[in-house]
Amino acid sequence: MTERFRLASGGTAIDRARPLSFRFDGKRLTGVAGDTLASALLANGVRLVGRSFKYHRPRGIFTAGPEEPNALVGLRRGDRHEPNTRATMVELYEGLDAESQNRWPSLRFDVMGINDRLSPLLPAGFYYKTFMWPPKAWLTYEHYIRRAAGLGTAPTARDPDRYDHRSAHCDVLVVGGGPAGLMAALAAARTGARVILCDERVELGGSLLRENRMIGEETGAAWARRIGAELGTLPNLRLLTRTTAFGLFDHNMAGLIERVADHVATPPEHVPRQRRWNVRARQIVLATGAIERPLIFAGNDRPGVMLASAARAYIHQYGVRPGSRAVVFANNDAGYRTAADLAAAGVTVAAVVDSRIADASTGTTQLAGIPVLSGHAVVSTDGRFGLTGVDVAPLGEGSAVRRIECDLLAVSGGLTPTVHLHSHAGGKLAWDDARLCFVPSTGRATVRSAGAAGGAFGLGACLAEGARAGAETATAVGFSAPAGVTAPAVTDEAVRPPQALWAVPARAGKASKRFVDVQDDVTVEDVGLAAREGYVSVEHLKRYTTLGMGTDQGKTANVNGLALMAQLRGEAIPAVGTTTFRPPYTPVTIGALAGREIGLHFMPVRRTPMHDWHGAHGGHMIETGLWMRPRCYVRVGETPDQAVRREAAHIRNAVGLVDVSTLGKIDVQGPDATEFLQRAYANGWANLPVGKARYGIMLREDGMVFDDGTTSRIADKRYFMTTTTANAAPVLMHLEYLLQIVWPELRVQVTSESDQWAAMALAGPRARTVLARVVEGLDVSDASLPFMGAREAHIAGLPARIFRISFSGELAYEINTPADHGLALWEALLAAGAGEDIIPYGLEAMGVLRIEKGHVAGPELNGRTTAEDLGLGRMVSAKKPDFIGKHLRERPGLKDESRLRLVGLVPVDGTSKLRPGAQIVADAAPTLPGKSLGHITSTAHSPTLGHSVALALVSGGATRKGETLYAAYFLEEGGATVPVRVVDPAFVDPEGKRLHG
Amino acid sequence: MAERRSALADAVKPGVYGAAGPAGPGIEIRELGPLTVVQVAAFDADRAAAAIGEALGTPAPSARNGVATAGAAAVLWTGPGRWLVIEPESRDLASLLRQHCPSDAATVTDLSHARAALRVEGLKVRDLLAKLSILDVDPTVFPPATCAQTQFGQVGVLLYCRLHDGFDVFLPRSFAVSAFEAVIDAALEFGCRVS
Repeated sequence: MTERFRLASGGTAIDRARPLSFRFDGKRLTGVAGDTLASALLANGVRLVGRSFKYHRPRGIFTAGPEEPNALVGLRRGDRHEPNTRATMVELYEGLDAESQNRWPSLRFDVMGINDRLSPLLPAGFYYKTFMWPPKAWLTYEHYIRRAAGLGTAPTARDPDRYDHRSAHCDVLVVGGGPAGLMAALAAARTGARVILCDERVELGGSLLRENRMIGEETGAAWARRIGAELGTLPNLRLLTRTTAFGLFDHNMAGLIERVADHVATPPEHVPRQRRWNVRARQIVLATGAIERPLIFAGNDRPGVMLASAARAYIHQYGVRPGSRAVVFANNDAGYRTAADLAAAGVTVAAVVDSRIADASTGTTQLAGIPVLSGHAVVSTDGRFGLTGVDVAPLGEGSAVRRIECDLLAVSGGLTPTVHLHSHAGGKLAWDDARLCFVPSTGRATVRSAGAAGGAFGLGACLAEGARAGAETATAVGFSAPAGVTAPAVTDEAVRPPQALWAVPARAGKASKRFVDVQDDVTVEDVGLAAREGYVSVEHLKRYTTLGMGTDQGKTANVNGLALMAQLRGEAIPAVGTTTFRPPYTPVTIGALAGREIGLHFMPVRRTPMHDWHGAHGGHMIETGLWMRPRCYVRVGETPDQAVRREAAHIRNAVGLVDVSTLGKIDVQGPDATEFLQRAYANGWANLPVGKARYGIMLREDGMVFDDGTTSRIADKRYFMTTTTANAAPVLMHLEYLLQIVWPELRVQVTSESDQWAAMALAGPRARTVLARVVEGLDVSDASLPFMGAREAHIAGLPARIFRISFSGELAYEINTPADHGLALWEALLAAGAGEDIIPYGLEAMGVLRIEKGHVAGPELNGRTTAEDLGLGRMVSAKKPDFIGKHLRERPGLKDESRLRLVGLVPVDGTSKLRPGAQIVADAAPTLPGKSLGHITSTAHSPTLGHSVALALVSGGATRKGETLYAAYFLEEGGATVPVRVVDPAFVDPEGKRLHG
Repeated sequence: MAERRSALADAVKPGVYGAAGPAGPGIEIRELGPLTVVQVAAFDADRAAAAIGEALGTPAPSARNGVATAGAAAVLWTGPGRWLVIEPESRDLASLLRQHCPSDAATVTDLSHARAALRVEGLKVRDLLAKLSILDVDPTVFPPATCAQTQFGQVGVLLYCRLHDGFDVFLPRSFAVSAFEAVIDAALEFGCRVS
């Protein structure tokens, strides 16, 4: 097929010397560089491009821009397939492969076209009313309904392309590169301000490329090209074409999507397909233009019915004749311009149908050889897969219908300023009764609209407003107004007021549909039904009928819809209001939102200095927050569970080494450091000597336990605090808050040292023997380095801090060395322990050992437990005048003896397994709902005792010691109830002989 | 002094990555180290700044995000009355600073092992930083001899602008490998030489 609708000349966007071939529904067609898919299809005479959402009616190309509701196609195949792309915005490239959607088996013969015949049975809300019963069946119905309706199909394979993000900052962001935007960018950039100009099309110019207008001696397109070239030379201006501003957010952050490589079949290697720009702008000029509204009449959705602005754009921008014989139907002066342009392009214009009645006050427009039908309207259309003719009748009573053959009907219902971004920024709209549109009124002070986006539809006004907006926004952020940037003078013709014609009345006896929203198949009758059923608010109208809820978000439909509702309510349009504009302005690919934060880069991994060693030595790594830690080190022939039991037992009998580098470590320094600890911790710190460690318990203001850890006095005015892994950052924030806000008079600095130190615990009866072998110049005997001693020394030539503290309950040393030495120290200790049968042990064995000792950890420090609940009440100082949590912990409810308090549990039969999450009850055979006495928080198989042990929070706590209770698993049907005996939580070595050994 | 093993020891693999055009890679990356990094945090900013000056020969900068250099050492402003002194490992910098800073004026904390450092240079370095962080990296806003703290994704980083096209990037040690991977990934489109 040749491009038989391509004009012999013209086309501001195209390069006729560069032909391109492409496929539509498998058929090979040709176009030229600069075409959109829509213009190339029209050049080839392809008018039927899709089926509608609900009624599967044949649909064509309706617009030439981002507002396209009909011509949605699937692009590319396989894992690069992209559904629902607007043919009007898809740049043609060699080999482009597009297919129509929502039809089966083919576009011309679509089985579900039956829906159109059945449409009297399918009003708005039909599905929800009909398929409500039985309630469970909706899921079944929905499956089929969604398949019958809907648009393209999303691909399921992983997208092979890259999507990227970047940020940018500027003084002035100009959105839209039409006449107003070009002038704004030029005026702002000439001041020296940093300017970003973005436009969603390939070339700058906006309406100048689509219309036949002169600026001085130049065509509009030539002027735009010249200004664009000048802007390209300005170092302080960044030009982003193929870039859509999809949202405007708080603090003037604009979201932009740059289609970096959407115009080629496959992006070059390492080049993203799309890039999201997060632009933070001090001032924003919205030069986003306006979108034409269609007129509503019977059969207004047929292929061949097109916006008048689009008909002009196909002629001027792409050199394409949108039809052969046209009728123009308008309620405003755009009809005459369209008719003239069509005629000049060789299209026979059969009639201009102007809904307004010409009289002496309004005057008439005469076009050579073109009949003008004033006071008339198109009342119906014909043609199965494309328009073949229209019926025209005078508006009003006693109408005589006149039939006009045509294959193109260009319609204009007036312009709607593109106010989306203004609204995203919280701007309000005002109804302009003269121009029949909503225009921006009040809004964010740093965001302003210029040109058609603000309701100034004339070219001269656009240029002047743009120049003023650019200069004023730059001046507002401190730049001097430029000399010599004045907008070219273009005289705008006087326009006669448009007529409020929201829907051409239906003809008696004719049931043909009048579409308000062609994408969602919402008709005038649906709006009426919504009103009759009480959905009179525009927000309800939208949700009930789906008006404006398609991928186009009602860009061509919303104003008409709410105007009709206003008529039905008998109110003025502003009283009815508009629905909320939300980002995105046009659809955004999910990949562009995610950017590179996918897969490996979804979130960072924290690694200890010994991370790689663990992996290389059988460590089963698990996530703990962002850290990766070894759960256990599995030997050949061993399951992970067996490894955990082996490791835990080994520590009680020999010696092991565990990586505890993830613990939070905070340097607390300053003249008032001791006083600060006195206030921040619940226990006392006044008499801790240098060289000693102490277990600390930190409360929240509300008296609950916040965190615990060991803090050592390493110098007179310096402490080394440790926190749990999970609370490293929260504790530091808490301390910073206390110092900055609560006690700014205290001279203390807190600094995270979590990454500065590698930390490892050497634990087990033979720990001292191992340490003694490699420590330099330090007597590690119990007398010299007793329990809770803290010393600095070198180990195997490496500087180290040695703390004799124990989480395992064994003789243990927590050894810190600067992180870059961590691996060397780890390996030195393992080597030194080789003769003592040393092993590395993991997180889970560490957990087993602490549970055997009844040491609390995360499951017990759950933010709802007090020091008393955890058996730590005696630690809380009664002497200190004040500390965080002191007062609120005295609340009677927190002193109640019946609170859930820490106990140990063992199975009465000595063999049953106890599991976390079990509820503790008093009855052997509990019934639901029953009374829970508490729950198990941590469990382990104790290698020392040879059976399961559990820590639990049980009402009454230690007062129940010796009682038999029951662990019940209510979430398991028929789950066994295990009799348990309440015991002291320290299952092993309650006297602490081992750790003092 | 015992030899240090950097967090990036196994991650930095020399080579040219990504779309290096005919003009060569737009980004050059190498690891810096071993470094000495010492924080001075003041209760009395003026006295502390002067004390740093006594110790190093150049007073600490008082301006927000300022940097002062003294020989191989750079003093980076990281908060009101708070600086990081960074230099190639050669002397006991922490002790030197502690000698000069009265303990009632400032605290001194050695953070040498808490950071990994990258030197990132090339014509595309500011584009790279704009991809990784939300900072305004325009030369008029982030000129040489200034520093700033920001985030690469979820990782807090310190950036030191040495030259128009040259930055040092300080990463928390435990996040260093992840952050390095993110830097390389972001640099692919510019071409990136790792040495």
